[in-house]
Amino acid sequence: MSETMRECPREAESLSALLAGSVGAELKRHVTGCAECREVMIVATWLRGVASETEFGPLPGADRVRWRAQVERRLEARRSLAERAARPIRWFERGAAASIAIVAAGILRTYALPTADTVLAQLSDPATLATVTATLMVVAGLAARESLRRP
Amino acid sequence: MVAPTAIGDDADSFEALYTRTSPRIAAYLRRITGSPEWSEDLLQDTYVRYLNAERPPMDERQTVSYLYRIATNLVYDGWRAMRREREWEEVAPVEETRPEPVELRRDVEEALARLSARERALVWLAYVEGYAHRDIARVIGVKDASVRVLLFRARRKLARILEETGLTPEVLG
Repeated sequence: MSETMRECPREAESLSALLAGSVGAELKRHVTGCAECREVMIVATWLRGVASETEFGPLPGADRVRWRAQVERRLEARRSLAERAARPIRWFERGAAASIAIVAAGILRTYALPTADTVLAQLSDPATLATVTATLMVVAGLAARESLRRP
Repeated sequence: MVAPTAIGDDADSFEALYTRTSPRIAAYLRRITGSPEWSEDLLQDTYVRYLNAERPPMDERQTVSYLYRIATNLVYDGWRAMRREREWEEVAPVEETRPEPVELRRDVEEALARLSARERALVWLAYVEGYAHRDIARVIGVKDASVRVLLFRARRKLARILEETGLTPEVLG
């Protein structure tokens, strides 16, 4: 909207008088001739009418709201307790994944990659290549799973 | 004026606070959301969040402003969630149809529905609650300086809607 903003220095005064329920004669004369203050009065009068007519069913009692707040606090406490309890399990899983990776590397070093010179020759064998690929995929999968589980 | 303290920490003070403030917050939520059912849920959620929040000591005025802020954030969160849900349903349509959050049944509802949620919150806080620009900025999460312009635009828009729909009230009768 590219409308020029126009303000009257007496807008706040007009609104205060309306909210207080007493608009003096001098202010009334001003509002009658001032488009901005008149607009404030129109909008405020209409909205306050809407507010007073707003219907809602019986509001929930304060006891019920307090009870709900207590239940949510307890649930939150339980959630954070469960989170704390699961922490050692997650560390154990990470340790297990690291151990598997080390063992896999050892197996590779011992059986699949006896010397640096024979690496290419060994990998040219389809069975060895399949073993190495499968092992690496397992290790990568475990690592990816771990990273996804981190909050 | 209530002395600065954590209002609502015990049952009695909460009940007193709830009795004093809940009709105002309920009316605000009802008019901002346009849905009686949703606004009732939000009303409870507002006070539940208030009770479970770590609050600094606040006087009565700050407490009410804080409640309005929680209520406004809950409305925004709800709308964001509904928008995500609608986007998801467009991709994967489901049989179940949910009721629209905004019910357009009466002149008043229609007039208010033509304002955006932020515009409704702005004019309500300014002209029903009589909030200062600084307080409105805090409630709806915009800069103090922006409130002046946003409020002017929202007010002008609402005034035009009222004129178009013949709802303009008599003032200074």
